[in-house]
Amino acid sequence: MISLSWRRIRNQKSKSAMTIISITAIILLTSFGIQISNETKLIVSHNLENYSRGSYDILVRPEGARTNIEKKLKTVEENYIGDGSGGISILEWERIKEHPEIEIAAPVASLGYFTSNTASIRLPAFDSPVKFEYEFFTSDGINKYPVTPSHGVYYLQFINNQNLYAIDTYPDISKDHNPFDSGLDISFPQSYNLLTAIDAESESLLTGIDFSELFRELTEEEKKTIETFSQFRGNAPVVPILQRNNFQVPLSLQVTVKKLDLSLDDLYKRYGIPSNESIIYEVQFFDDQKRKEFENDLTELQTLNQNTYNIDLTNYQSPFDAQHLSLDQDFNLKRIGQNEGGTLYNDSGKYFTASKIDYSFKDNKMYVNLVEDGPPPAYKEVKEAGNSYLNNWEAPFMIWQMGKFTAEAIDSSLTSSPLGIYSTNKVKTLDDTNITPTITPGSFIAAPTAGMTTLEAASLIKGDHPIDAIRIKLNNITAYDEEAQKRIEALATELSNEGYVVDIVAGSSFKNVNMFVEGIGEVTSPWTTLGVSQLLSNAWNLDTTLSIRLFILFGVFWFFSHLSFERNRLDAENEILTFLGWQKRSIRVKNMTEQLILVFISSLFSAVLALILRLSSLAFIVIGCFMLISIFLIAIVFYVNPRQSTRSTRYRFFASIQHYKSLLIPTMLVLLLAVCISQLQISSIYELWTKSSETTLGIFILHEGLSIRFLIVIATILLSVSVLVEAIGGILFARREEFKMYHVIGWTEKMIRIQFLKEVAIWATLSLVSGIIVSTIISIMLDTSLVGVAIGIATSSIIYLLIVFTTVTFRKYR
Amino acid sequence: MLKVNNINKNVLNNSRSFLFQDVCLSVYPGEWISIIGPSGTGKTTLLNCIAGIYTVDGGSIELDGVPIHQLTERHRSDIRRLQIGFVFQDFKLLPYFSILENVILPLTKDKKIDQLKQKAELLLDQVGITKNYFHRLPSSLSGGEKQRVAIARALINDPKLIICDEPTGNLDNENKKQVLHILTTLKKKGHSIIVVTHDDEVANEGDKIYELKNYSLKVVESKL
Repeated sequence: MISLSWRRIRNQKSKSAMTIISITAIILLTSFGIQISNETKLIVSHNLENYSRGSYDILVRPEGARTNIEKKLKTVEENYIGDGSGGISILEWERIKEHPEIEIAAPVASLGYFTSNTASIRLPAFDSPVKFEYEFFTSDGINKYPVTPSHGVYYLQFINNQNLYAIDTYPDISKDHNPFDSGLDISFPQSYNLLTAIDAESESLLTGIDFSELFRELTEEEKKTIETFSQFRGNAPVVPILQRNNFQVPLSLQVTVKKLDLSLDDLYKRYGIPSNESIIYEVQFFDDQKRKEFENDLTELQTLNQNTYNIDLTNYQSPFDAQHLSLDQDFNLKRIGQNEGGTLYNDSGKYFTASKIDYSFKDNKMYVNLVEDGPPPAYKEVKEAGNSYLNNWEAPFMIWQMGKFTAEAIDSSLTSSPLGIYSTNKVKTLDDTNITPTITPGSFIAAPTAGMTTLEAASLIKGDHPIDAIRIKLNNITAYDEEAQKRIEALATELSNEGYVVDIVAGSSFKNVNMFVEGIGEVTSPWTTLGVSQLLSNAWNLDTTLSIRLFILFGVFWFFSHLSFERNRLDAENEILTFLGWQKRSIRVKNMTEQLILVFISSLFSAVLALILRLSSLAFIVIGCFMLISIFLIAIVFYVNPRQSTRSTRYRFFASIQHYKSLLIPTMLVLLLAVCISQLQISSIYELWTKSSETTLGIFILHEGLSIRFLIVIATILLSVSVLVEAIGGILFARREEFKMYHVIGWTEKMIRIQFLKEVAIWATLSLVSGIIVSTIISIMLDTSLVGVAIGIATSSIIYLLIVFTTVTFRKYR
Repeated sequence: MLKVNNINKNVLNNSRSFLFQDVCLSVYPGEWISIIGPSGTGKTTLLNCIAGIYTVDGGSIELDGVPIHQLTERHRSDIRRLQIGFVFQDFKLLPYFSILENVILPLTKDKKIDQLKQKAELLLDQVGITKNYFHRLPSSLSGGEKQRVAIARALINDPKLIICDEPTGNLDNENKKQVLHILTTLKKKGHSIIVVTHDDEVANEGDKIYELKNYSLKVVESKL
């Protein structure tokens, strides 16, 4: 029996090969799909469990802290805790941190932009008279903005044992001109540095950054200096700060050096200055008229030659300890010590607060408008606060730098844990230019914190409720699993009931937000979506599980359909064998043996390929299951006799469809499933593409599962084609006598083809429409967008076109 | 050898409508019976009833004393496979098997393939099919050759009774003569033959000629 069946298989090489390839494809794709699905699920879960929890789990903010843009987009901008106006007291924080579920409760209070210390840059002393024209610039990455007016400094001569006398003519040679100052020391422009208060202990636990220096013992020298400074500031209390190390806000200096055509002897004579004195030193003794005359003389001087230098100061800024710099005659920059000269200008009692950026929407597009033109432009309302000691010799506090801290690589690339104060993520224009913060508080890009201080200092500066947010991490959570989620949600609900604005931050991820910024153009900024990972993970799991299950169902129906056609083809052979005295049972066993041999060969091929492709042992389980299902299906198809079709008067026009329904129903089911799979896969790929590509985590998940999805779609379409060819071939085979008859009675082949095409159009359309309806309902249940559904329908229509193509091009109509 | 007594066959399970009624027929060893009659009178159905493919709705059929009409389908198949040979108008060769495989097909379950092959080669040789055709598919043969292969297949089980349904219906004159010659030889060797035909020349080869007409079978000519 086996040899007989084997002969039949061997004698129909192409047909048998096609069946074996199709079965192998179904087995391997199912195995591969389940394996990829499980592996990706593991990878995604692993990443979610290990990374998406991030630094903390819950963000607690005071009532009303949620901005309109946050409510609208459900995302938060970078460094969103900066520019906060407080709302939570230190007592409240202490109460919250005692909660038994909480391991870390790290408060953060944004205090504002502090002007801090201002150091100087010493210009080079040349041998001959020169005029320096200099100007400081900042940049937002696109445009360069002047931050100080252009100054003109005259340096005329070097006299031993005397200071480097130079004279600044901006806006004119002042009466207050102080010749004892080193005129070649030009001050840095005033910078505005975000100062944030934290609880050093909890912040260290949260970020791994060491803030202990905030509480270090002051040296004797420091104590003396503080005491001296404090006397001039009305004994102001000291605010200890740690300065951020890698602080980079664009700042540059442009210097033009003009060599002057000037005879110093003529000047001495003209103004009657003793030859052993410095000319500029003597200017202080000039009356107004003489000083004006001197200024005019300088202005009218001819320039012998001039050079312009641009010096990048970005990496030389040191907002709170104000390090002096000097330029040599080649305009190379170097740091110099406090005792080597320079001018230290300290007005740290004055600071500025900035409002949040007012985002507006027009035609679904986000806009940011200028608040002040600048330069540099401001996008936030800036208010001055504190008290300059220069005005009344009394300051509310005095900043003292205790040390430095480094905040690097805190953010994960996959998931975001928005600490809200450290971020240096890139904001880009459409042409990929980085946008940077400028040195002004109203800068479009929210600058990360430049300095850290204590909560006590925050109370001193900001009042009783200084805390803008508390970042909470729950205890005893090792992975972001279901149990962890439940605990996090329970605590979040409890805190929310207390009146705080609470967000579950675990599972956050970056999302690119596009907006039009006045003065800059269109930019893309990495904002943070709160709690997106679980949503994505759930959607991904549901999608993949559904896809694999549908494909398995498709495989089963495909095989059922294949067997039905095979049984139909065998009818004629069975009749002969019956005539020849074969028992029905023997015929059935022969037919079943043949199918079992095909399944066995396919399974063997699949096993070999699974080994070659190094699929997991799951592939062998799938092979085993497929063999069992196959035996079951073969038994059903070959044991159960199809009901004899009876002609009904209802079916006049296309009676053949009714007559051949036992062949058509499996085909229609296969097509229906093919349409479902194609539509769901493509719409789901589109949805994942659009939704997932908004976040880095989503892109990761998308890439992990994309290949198997496309493979499933392609395999589904190819197997559908094989079913179609088999279906149309089978129906033509079954109706060969009928078509011969049509031919005998004078129908042309074209007429027969058109008649057949009409019949195919009816059952194929019915399958297609049913498939589209089923998959659209599933899509709607899965919250797929209408565009996604439309794309899915368009793709599944390919199958319909294939049906028409196969029908039209099929040759055997006679 | 074959005794058919008063058999009836209804049309499609309709007990009120007969295809034929009270049909009687006896066939002895080495006897050729020709059955003629208009189309649609049930000649092929009568053959199928005799072969045990169809059951009868009345009467009895005995082959060598075995009541075929009382046997189960399985036993009817056994008798058909082991004692009866079939030759059809459209040859009914399986297109996927070689000529040799087609010939041995009836007994592949009962005997060793090698033994059958030897016998099949002999039979094919007897009906005039040359050896180089043995492993070809039926599609490579002419109509006459196909029918000769079908006769070889009918002989593989050394049948007592050979049933032929329009065996020359699809053949040209020359091939018809060859087939008739083979059948005549078989008759001489002692095989009983029942032939349903529309062809007078074929019918006249019979020792008795029956006509199935108006639901009944009647002898129209007897040479015995």
